[in-house]
Amino acid sequence: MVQELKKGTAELLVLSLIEERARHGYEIAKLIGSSTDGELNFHAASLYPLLYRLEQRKWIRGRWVEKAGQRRRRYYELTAAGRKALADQRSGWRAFVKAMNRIVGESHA
Amino acid sequence: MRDWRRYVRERLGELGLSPEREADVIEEIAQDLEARFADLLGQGLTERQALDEIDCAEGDWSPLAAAIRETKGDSLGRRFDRADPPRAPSPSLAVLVDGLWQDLQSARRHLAARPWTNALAVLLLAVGVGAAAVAFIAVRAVLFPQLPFDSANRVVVLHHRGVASGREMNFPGLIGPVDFYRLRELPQVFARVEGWSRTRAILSSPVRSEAALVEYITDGMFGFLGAKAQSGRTFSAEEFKPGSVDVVVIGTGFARRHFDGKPPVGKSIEIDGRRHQIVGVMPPGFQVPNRLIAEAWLPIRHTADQQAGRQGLPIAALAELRPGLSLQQAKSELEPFSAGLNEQFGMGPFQELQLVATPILDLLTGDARSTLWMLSAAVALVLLVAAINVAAILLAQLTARRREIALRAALGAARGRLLRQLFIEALTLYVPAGMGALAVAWGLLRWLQSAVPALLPSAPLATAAIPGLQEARIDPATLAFLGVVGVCIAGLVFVSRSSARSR
Repeated sequence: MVQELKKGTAELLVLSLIEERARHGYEIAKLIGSSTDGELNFHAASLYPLLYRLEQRKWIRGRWVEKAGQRRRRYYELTAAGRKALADQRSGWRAFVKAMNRIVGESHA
Repeated sequence: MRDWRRYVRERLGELGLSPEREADVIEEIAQDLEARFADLLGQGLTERQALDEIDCAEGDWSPLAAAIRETKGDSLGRRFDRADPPRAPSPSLAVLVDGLWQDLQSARRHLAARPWTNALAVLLLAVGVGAAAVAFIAVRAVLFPQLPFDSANRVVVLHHRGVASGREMNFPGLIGPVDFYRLRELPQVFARVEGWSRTRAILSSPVRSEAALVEYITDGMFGFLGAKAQSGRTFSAEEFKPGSVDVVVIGTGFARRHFDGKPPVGKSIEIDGRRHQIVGVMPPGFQVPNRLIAEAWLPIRHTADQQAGRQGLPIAALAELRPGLSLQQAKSELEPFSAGLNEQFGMGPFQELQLVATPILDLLTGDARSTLWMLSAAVALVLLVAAINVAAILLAQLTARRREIALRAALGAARGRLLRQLFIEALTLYVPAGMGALAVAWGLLRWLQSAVPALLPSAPLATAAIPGLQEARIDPATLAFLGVVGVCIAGLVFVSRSSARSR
């Protein structure tokens, strides 16, 4: 069930996590895992196709960054188009959650 | 230590990407797995267990490989990796020609897509630039009048200024014979003094008769103007003496109309019923510096009595100041000279009468200059309005095309290539506009040539209201002007388009 939901919301998750600052792929995967207490896990096989797809859509931009004494890493940041897409998806998600809560949430209240 | 790059490469298989991009993808995923592996070890798992965990979690690698191939990772982010992006090899001539051809086709399509707007832009440009070209011709004709004199800045027109009944009056160019011949006796002031007198006469050849303008000229006039006969000769000194054989020099127009291409020299025509022998034909365009073009020239023949008085044919006098003498000096010399003449011959109805020297350049350009400034200002305004309108039209089009340009840029069109296309589009608009401008300039010039002398108050000496305008043609300098204006406008449009593009 959780995995099913993950597919539809993966983009929103990734976009949200890089909204404030650029992050590399594993950092994104780890944040998703830790923030959801392991309920949601992104492996390389699912994370990178998603990142590349978003990059091709020009919602995010990948950039190799070299820091002194460290290996270069690829960081992803939001583009202007990505910011707009995030806002759209976020409001869509809120509307969806609100609608779901009216039915599911209230019946269980 | 485990080689995670090799681990990833073995599982992903052939990706079909460029070597650089493939290395980037493998590096990125290898780093991810290495970090996961380290975390698992940190959680207390053995290497074997951690590796199994990763193997199990990643499962089948083929969807990942397919997804990477599908997103054609080559177009992604690679350019951020390097300080110097790889340069495209310089295109061969064939590629360049092909590219230009494509740009031309593209420009043609865009022109055809909005025929009315583009026609309006072309029309606005044609009118604006054409009018500007005519203003350029007129300004050039006024500021640099084509005068036949070697030292035009020393040439003055001599005329009377009189005051009668409290009103000041100018008598453009006409002085009495005695004034003229006495002026010739002032070598300390004038290097030479020549003149002419104009009248209308009936000229009859065996073919037909016509009323035409003829000019009586003094003996040195042709020489002063640097004019030589195209065929035959001009007058000899003998022919200026009263009682000598009647001779005439005719213009090419008259020769063509009356002698049908046959040599007229040696033949005779009648002027007001009196037979005159043709001794020469002047070259086309010859005229004494004034608005009206005469058909024939005759020698002035004043008798000794006439030369000593103010009776007889009055003369429009031109003089060349002695080299080194300023206009002010000449004027101060003229004052007592004029007073002496007045004392001897009286002032007729005038309370004051004075011989005045006015530089011919002032006379030719004086009245016209202010007219020309107004004309130029009006035309500059027309050009400005036209350019602003065209820019507005083109910018509106550009907004509509922004998507297309963005798409081309996204597909990898180089900035230089896009700029070249925009420049060629601007040029394709300007070429028909330039041709239209030529037509407008031609028509406007023709209209101006026929209308301006009538429109403007007559200048002293009855000179052309805009001197030189009658002879003005669309010459190489005008074409160069059109070219410069064209490149400026094309450049302006190009810059505004490309700046709009980069916004």
